[in-house]
Amino acid sequence: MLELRNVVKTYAKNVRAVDDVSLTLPAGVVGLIGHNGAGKTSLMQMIATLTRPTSGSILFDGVDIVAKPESIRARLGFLPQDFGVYPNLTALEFLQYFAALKGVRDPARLRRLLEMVNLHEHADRQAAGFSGGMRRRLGIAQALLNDPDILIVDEPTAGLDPEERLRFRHLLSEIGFRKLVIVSTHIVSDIENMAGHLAIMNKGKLVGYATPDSLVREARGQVWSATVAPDHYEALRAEVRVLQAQRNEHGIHLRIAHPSSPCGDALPAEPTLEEALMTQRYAVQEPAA
Amino acid sequence: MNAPALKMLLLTEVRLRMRRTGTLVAVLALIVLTWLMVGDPAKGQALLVVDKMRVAYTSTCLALGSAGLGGLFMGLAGFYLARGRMNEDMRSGAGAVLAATPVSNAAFLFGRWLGAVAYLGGLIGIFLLTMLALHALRGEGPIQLLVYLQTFGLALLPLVFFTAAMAVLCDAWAPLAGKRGDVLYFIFYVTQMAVPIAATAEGAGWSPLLLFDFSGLGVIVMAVRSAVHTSSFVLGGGEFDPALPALVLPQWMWSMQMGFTRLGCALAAMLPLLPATWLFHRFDPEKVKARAGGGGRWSPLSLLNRALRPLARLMHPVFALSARTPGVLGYALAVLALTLASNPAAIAAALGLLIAGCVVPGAALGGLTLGAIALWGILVSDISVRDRQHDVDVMSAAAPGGGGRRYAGQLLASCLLALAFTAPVLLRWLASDPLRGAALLTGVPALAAAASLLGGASRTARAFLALFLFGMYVATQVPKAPALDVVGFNGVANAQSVATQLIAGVLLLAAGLWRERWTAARN
Repeated sequence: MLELRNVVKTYAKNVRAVDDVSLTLPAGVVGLIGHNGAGKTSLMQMIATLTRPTSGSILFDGVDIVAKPESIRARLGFLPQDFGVYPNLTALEFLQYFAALKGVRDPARLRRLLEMVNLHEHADRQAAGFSGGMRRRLGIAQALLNDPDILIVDEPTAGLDPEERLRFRHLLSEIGFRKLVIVSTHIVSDIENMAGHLAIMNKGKLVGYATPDSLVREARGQVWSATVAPDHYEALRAEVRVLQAQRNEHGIHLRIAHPSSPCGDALPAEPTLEEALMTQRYAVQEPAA
Repeated sequence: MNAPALKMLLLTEVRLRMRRTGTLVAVLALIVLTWLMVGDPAKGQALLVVDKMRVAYTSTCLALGSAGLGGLFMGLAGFYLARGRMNEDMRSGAGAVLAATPVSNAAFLFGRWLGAVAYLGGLIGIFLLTMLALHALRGEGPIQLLVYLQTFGLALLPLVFFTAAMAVLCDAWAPLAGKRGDVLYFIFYVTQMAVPIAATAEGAGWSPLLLFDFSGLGVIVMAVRSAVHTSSFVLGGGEFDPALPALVLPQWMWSMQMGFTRLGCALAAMLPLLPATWLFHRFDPEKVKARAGGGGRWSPLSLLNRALRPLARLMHPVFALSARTPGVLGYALAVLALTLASNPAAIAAALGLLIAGCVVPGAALGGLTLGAIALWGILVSDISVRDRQHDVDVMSAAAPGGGGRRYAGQLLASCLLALAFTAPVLLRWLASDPLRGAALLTGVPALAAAASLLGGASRTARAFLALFLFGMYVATQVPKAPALDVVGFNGVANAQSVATQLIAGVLLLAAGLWRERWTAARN
């Protein structure tokens, strides 16, 4: 469906935001993971035709979208991270505007989408009075206006309450049954139950592309659970990578990433996806030179 | 793009602009302008005076006069009101989504242009309604709606087309985004006013230059000249001899040739859309800075600011002093230092103006003040909106003293900035011409209060900038009017005008404080 071939994006002063990324993405939900500055946003902006790669090509259903951006735009839904709304427009007017730009002529679809994102009761309210979560939901509705074949969403659940977050994850999962959904996020729980694959970026390079299960499998035997006395905690923290620390009545309960048992009473633990990512070398941000 | 989609784009553009506070300010300014320009003959003033004879206030006279003078305002203020939609897109983050839609650059920009045309057309409609109301009060003869519509249409349509097209061009081309485009347009606007003068100087004959007479003044002058058979007439606030009979203009002033000329001019007015389409940044993050809403790292002003960056160090002691100074004064010093440190070219200008203020002869002080206040107004228009534009308004409101101290501090900083530009001039005037010094002393706080109030209410620097630049332009064109000599650069301010601007300043200050408290209470 979407194919990236040796995509490079270089900004001023020779900063390589995306460095020779090649990837083929079929339908399904793909989680794009990486630190701040890893190149996720630049990569998504190139796929969304906002900016052009310095070199390389991006093919959508075999068509080079760098040369013919309009070939993907009609089939694209895009929700950037810092998406806001026009405060002077009502929710419905806002969707009508984007529907006009996207060539969507079905007024009933606008109402359906507002219902889908639970804003139907606020359709005629000006967005100036919307909370952050409501604005986000309006953004989601906007991204789905043209029933896109490829949906690109950046930090989609930021600002949503737990119920809305669950609802939106479910929605993305459903869309991913038939279409390509690229989700960039720092919140691993957002994608662990819906992403078929994770693309992991570090310093502009694609350093991993795997299923969540395989990442967890690889991390088995590297995550440990232990309870230590508070006096010993500082010394242990200097030697091993602590993933989680929680004080309880017995001392401090730790989850630790380490290739072998980090201390006497440590027990091997089943890693979560987040811990699996933290244990992998590609998810660890190297210190700046 | 199909017609319903285009209609929706147009409707949205009009809705977004009409719901701005800046529009309300413009409407009020238009109403005030209308009443000011149609002088009351009973008080010795007339809109149109030919050889000391006043022209009777028929529909033709009022339509011609108001279209000519209103066009001056709309050509300048209309630009600042119409532009800025793409900055809004960038600031809100909607720009990235717009860029990813299938709409073509040409269709997108055409939609934006149509929206701006409809919006400016709406404002002109309000202007027309105000004129009709005034006609009912002061007019002579019946209200002939067709005469008004024909005159407004032919005189102002090319102007609206051109203003909207320039607004789209300045929004679409990254180097002109932001204040740079605002200032360049003002210079361009003042320069292009030479076109009607050149076009009508050659005599009453048709000139190809009339195709570029977007303001419509050239054809209006030609129409009046051909009707009254003289070049000696005054448009706008002229004094007349009441002993002479009133002159009546013919009902229809527009020849077929003039109509076609205006049609050609309307087409020429759309020319800026071509480079706009070609140069459109389409929200490419490489071409525009997403949040600042401006690009042009290689613009002359950016290069100058970069070259003069070391001058920003001169502000370090001011920052240090602001930290040591308690209360509003400390805050004001911090704002002053921030304003100048972000514009090192302004520091160089301030140094130059301070030196020049000490050494130039007294006769040149007016011109020097004009330049200093123009630069000051451009810088000050930003002060009250900067926090919001950079999303730090909540933080500054949460600082000790809250929004009230911020408001007072910004106002004081604006006055200090004016002092940094004009201190020697002020001292010299106070010593040699106290009334002129008093005009500067009362005019600056009044303008600063207006900038704070308009910036706070409209959330954009443009509402103040548009009125300020228009006022400056009019003041340079009418140098004998004391009321327009707000900071004393024309040297005609009198006790009455100084007292008026003092009262105006106090009222604006009170309105700003009330607004600040009202906003705090609402939040």
